[in-house]
Amino acid sequence: MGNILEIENLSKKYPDFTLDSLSFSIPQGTIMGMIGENGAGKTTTINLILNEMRKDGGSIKIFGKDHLEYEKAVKERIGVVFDDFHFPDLFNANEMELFLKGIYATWQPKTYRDYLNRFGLPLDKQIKAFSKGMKVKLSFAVALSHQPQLLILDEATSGLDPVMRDEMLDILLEFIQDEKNGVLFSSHITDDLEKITDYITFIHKGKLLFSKTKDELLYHYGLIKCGAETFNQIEKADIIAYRKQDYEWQVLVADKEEARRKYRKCIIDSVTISEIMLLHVKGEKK
Amino acid sequence: MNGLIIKDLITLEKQKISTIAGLLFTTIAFLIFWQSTGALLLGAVVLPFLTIFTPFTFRASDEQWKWDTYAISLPVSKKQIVASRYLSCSIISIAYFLFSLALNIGVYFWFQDHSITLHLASAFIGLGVSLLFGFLILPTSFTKGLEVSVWVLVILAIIFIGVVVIIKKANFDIFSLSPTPSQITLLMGLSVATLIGIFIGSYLVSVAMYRKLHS
Repeated sequence: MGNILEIENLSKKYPDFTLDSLSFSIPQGTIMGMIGENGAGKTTTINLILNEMRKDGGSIKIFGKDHLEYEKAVKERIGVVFDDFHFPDLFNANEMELFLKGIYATWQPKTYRDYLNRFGLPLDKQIKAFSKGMKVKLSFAVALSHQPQLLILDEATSGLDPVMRDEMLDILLEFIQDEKNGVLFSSHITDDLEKITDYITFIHKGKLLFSKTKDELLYHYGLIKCGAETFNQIEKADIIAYRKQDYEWQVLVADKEEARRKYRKCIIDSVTISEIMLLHVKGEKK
Repeated sequence: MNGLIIKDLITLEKQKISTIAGLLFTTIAFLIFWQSTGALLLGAVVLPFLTIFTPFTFRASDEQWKWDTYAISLPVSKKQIVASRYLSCSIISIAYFLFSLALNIGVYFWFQDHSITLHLASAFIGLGVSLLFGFLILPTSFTKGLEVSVWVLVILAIIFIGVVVIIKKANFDIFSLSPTPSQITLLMGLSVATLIGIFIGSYLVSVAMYRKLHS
């Protein structure tokens, strides 16, 4: 199975920020979660993929094709959902379809109507009267109604209540049932990412910290909680990052089982994506 | 690209009641006060003035909805995004022109005060002026936003009024003109060529600026 998205050494320089040689790929049939603090470079990466801005270096291949050389063909098969709603809110869902089917050659009226029915969205009501959740649902309906193979979500579920978020995550899981498809899901809500992603890419200050399978992170990484004395005994090579909280040291290690064998006196817990992110961003290296 | 034009036209359709009411009110008022001269003024000055607000309506809507961010994700090139806006504005100018043409022809047969040539010229001058203003405003509206575009319009309006005042001060009576067919053809040819030149320049500048904005 090939990669639906391949990014190699992607770079973009601004006066106050640099995206530095970012490389990762999304295999077909998988969901990639992209995490990082605000300003880490997630939206910049998405904007570069969509050619919203010009890259300074590196390559981006979507469906095995250069994203600039085959820009129109590639975008025909990409569905995008942003955090903000960018459609004209004086329009209704019917009018949205009128102009979108003039843009996408592969627009599927039936699919669009099916999603509107499923989400309980009215056809003739102005979008400005929609709730935030309804607008997100409409964005998903639009993104999924032109037979996309790659979905790009930029904080798409932010601001939704847990029930609605869960509904949207189900949609993604359905979408990925077709093994030709793939999803790039940038989000701060690490709970969502833990639920549905296959891979996690972590960007910090414009640099790639890691791009790994979620299982590798959740099942192999561990969090040692110990006092100062034990902390001093932990080998430097075993520590990815650590931080001190009151009287407790929290240490992120890459191999939980190995750490359990080596440091028998310590409590070694499983780790969440949120904790991995926090320790990388706020923690220190020994 | 059709979809982008349809989006613009639906945006304008949302204001159809106020637009049609305004158009009818203005037309009736001009015809009551100035009869056939009113139709000439409408065609050459008033209607083009109404159409030049079209790029502002589009830009204001785009800014309100942050449409550019989404447009970039669509399977259309930046060139097509720019071209669609030129086409949308041109379609509106042509719609106003057709209205002006019908009005002037109707008024000519009703009043028969001025020559049919003058009435036709009024409609064509109006089309030229509205396209000219549109082409001059669009590059700024794409890249500098609504506020700067308004200033560009104000400057253009001052220049336009200035020209009218100069013509008036020179006691130039446009209604006494009786150009020969060859003079009319030459003038029309020159005007069209100038307009095409300005369109090409404006379009190239808009594409370059739009690309720079998203680089």
